[in-house]
Amino acid sequence: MNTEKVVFAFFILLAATLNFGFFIGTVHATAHFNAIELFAALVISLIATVMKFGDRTHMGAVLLATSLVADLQLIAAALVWGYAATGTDTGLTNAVAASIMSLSGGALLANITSVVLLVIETVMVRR
Amino acid sequence: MNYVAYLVLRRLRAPLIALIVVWSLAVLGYVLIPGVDGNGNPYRMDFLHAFYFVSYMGSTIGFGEIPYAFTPLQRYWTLFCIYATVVCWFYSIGAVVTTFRDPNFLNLVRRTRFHYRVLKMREPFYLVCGYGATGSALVTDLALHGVQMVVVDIDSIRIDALELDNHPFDIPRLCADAGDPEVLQDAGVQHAMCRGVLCLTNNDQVNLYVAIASKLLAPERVVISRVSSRETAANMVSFGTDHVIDPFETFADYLTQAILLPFHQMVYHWLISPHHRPIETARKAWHGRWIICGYGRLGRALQLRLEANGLPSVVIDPNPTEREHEECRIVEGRGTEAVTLLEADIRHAVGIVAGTPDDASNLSILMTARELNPGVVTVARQNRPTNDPLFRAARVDFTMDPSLIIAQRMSALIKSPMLIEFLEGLNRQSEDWCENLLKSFNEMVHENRLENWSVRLSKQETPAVYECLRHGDAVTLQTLLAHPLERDVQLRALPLLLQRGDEQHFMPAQEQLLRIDDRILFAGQVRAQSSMAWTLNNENVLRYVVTGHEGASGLLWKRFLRQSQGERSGG
Repeated sequence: MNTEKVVFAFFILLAATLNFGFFIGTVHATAHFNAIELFAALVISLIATVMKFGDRTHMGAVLLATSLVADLQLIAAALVWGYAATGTDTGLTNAVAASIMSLSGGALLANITSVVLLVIETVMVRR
Repeated sequence: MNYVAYLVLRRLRAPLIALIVVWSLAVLGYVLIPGVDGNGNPYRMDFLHAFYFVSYMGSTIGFGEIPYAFTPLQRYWTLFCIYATVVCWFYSIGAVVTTFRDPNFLNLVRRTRFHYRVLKMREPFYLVCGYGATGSALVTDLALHGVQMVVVDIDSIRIDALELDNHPFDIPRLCADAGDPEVLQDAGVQHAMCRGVLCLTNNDQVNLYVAIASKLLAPERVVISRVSSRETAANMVSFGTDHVIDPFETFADYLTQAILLPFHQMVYHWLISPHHRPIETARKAWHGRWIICGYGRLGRALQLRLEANGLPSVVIDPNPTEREHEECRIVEGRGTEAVTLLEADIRHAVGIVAGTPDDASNLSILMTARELNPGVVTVARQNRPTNDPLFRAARVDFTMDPSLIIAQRMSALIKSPMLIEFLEGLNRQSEDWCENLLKSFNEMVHENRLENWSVRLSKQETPAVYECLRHGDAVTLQTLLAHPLERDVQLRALPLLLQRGDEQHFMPAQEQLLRIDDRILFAGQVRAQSSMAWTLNNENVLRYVVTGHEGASGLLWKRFLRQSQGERSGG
């Protein structure tokens, strides 16, 4: 058993599940815990990205790319939310909530790709 | 080479993950812990403020408690966070800085920058491996003639020396092992503009590696290498190294020629070295017995040559027992003491060669020898270029620096391959012929530098002459040698060799008619070369030199002139 692989798989799956959990809920400006879900998804996704630094294999490089995509989308979602909640007078409107959801949906797609790649890699190793 | 980049990224993993974990936990704490706003109402910090607060707390900036004063519970949490984030911040920043200061990483950056510089080179260049005494002499000479180079050396001190040596343009340099094929590739051995590879390291094995790698990676490159053993030389020739130069053999050839054919040697020296001895120092050959101090590779090569030419010699060597089987007289000793020299019969010797690898011993030998026999001819091998003033002060008759001899020969090979052909042909000429040639050299340049250059009459190199010859007009060597401003004045230059196909004309006559694709080797003043370039390249100058009057250069004026000439001939 490779400890590095276990830890990495843990973070990849956790990033995907947190992202999924956030995506299926609905965004309410008053619901404080929605924001915490997004925050957790972003932090776990960042850790998963850093863990792929310095991997020389082709699979490692592709996994790094997919988690970078997920990070980018989640950061964009967090920035939109932060700006809408504090920078505007209207607060979190339905339109903004929709764009946050679609950004996190994109991140979910990237995370699912990561999980699929991880499964493929695991299946290919016949030990 | 990319593996260092991966290593750096891998080393950044731990500090970055630590940073993310501690920061996110702290932020999460502030978001979850209930607070109180200015009016005493319950309040929860949002992510924006939490992240803002943790960022300035962790980086020890500390703007104070925002947006409202903290409750005791929040302060309790802050107390933990201060220590956690500050320690983590210092650890991460320290780790990142260490990684970027890592010598491997810096080397990688330097190597990458060098690689891109070489890739961007747009003019022909030579790859020089090894920047020791030979390398620096060669690079200096070639740089003066505008030849671009790329230098690789394993010793960072020598690479720094290259940076400090004032060359007319910046030369890309890399501190790396030239024996590594990847280094050679980065240095541009396969670059379309690379003309040749010069192996000048002081290690035969490395030179061999470089030569083999260059011939395999880019078979069409010219490879010139120095070697110090006969086996390596034979090995290199076997796989097609273009020129192999052995410092000891070359040096021995040079010295034997100086002893037996002083005028031949002097012509060679004038043409190949930037600083030449005045003609007055040339003497007739010294026939008699020679003493050779130091019977290493140099002493042996020298002794064999003297023997072959019928000159008796005595060898002084500290370990004569090893050489017992050799057929020559050997005296045991270093040669620095009078006793040894007297035993070798210095009083009746015509000359003495101090050929040990140590400059102090060489000087000591020659000074002792001169005390015992003031008329003796002294020849010294100079091992370090920095000892120049000492050898000059000792008034040694011949000082020979092996590394300089190699550098001059290689630079001649690169600058004008025709010169080497001329020098080879020189061996068939007599001493008197050489003396006359020297006298004409002396008239041209006196104590100034004797420059040599070759010209090929082609469309690219000499457009004006090419056009002239294409139209069937006669151009002679005299035309090229006329001054472009005053055709009755002759340039201070002399044609040495004319090559036409496989034919070679030694010292061609001034009236020699030229043809397209002729190659001519000239020797003369430095200024004469640039003056000649006018005649070779500028149509108007060439017309003036050929006909004696300046023609029209513009199309309109040409037409006008032609018409008026037509009227004149018609009327």
